[in-house]
Amino acid sequence: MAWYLEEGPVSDVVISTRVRLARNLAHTPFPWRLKPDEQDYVKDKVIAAFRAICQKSGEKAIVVELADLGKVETLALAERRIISRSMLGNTKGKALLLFPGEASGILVNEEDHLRLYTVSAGLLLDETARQVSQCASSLESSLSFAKNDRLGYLTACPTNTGTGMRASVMLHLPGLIRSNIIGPLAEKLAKAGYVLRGAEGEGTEAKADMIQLSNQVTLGVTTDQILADLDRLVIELAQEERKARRALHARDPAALEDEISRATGLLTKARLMSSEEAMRLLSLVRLGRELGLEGMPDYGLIQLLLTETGEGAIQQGAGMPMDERERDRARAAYIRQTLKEY
Amino acid sequence: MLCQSCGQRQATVQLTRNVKGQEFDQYLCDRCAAMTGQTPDPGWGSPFGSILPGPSPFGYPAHPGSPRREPAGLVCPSCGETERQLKETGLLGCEQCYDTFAAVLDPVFRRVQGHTRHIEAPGESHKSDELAELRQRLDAAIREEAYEEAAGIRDEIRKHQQKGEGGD
Repeated sequence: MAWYLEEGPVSDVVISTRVRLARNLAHTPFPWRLKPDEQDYVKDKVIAAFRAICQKSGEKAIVVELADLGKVETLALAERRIISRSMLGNTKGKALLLFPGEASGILVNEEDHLRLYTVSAGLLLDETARQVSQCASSLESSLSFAKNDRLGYLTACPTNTGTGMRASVMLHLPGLIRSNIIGPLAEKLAKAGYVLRGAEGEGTEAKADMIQLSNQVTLGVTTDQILADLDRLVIELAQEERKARRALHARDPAALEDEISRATGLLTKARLMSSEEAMRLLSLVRLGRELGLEGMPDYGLIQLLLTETGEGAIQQGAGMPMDERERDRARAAYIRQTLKEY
Repeated sequence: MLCQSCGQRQATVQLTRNVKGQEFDQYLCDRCAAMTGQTPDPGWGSPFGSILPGPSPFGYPAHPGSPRREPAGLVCPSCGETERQLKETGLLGCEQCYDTFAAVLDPVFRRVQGHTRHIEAPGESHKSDELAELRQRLDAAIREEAYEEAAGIRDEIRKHQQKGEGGD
């Protein structure tokens, strides 16, 4: 089962946890200063180390040259948040090394030589960080990483120097967003050293009421401290979100329940559906489930549709490129089919 | 946010544009910003943004439209990155850059990170330092074709790795 279909801890508010580590090879210029043959050298070295650890653990090593992928496949990877959207137009010299199931992997030659990530369902910071750190340590036994005593791991951007760790949680915050609490909250969090951003990374808007919260500080704090502080903060935020949802429901139960029921109606009946509309409606259905309303689809079904109805996934599923109208039609059909038996 | 000019790359620079006497903010990528020849506003995008105190302290043209001055400042002896490139891209070129541009970086760390020194989790440093030393010894032994010694060091590395995996 794909990791994003699972229901993890605190799943009423936290969709997923992702921890990434930035690492660079010692004595090698950072990726943006490398010529193509030097990028290949880095890639080969990292791939060899990756294959060695997979061989040891008996796992299948999946190596993907991003430049060899078609537009649709790359887009589908971004929709599953395995690569960032900023990489879409710029895949040359980059590789993606995946462990089976896609929950863990390594991006090679992005901003840093290695960007290792692990992702889990729900709020699971310690375990997710442990897994990605273990992968980094295994690689470090055959690769030498750029680091020093004063600054820790050395990265291309000084916003990652030190631990090189960015821990993020994807939150579903319809309560806080609809009560207009999210703006002032974001400012407060920024002052405390955290970043709130839209679901698809830097500079994006909140889709389906999903917001990503991550640590900004990577220097002068240990990874344990970063994780513990973030965990505490997310637990607090989850409590605030539950309060906001209850208040929203209590204010006018019939109106909110009507809105949610209409959303399920549209999802199960519509013949044309844009990605934006699907996201908006799925967020409402998710809220309905979180509020404990009757007749809501299973958690896994909602997650499946939130993750696999993007422009890339729909075309990948159809096995051919489609224009917008064809996509909207295929999306509506896929959603109807998926929700048929709930 | 995507660049408001090309719509392709991430916006990294904020410019205050003046059109027909009206000022408005524009968010651009490095390349499109460079095309305007105008000084980026401090404090947005690149972490080096807010250390640009007003117009042209680091080679940016003082007035919109005037030709760019040649880059001044430090150059990394290892990768050739200039101070100007660092401030424009916000990216270092190699690990040596951290020493070359230490004086530029310190205030950035203080502002963005609130710290200027790394703190290692207990036990972390010790383990990786010993491993690094063993790997260096292994490389040296192989270079000198001292294969018996190399095999011994390899065993030691394996022991270390197993210890590392069992612990945590």
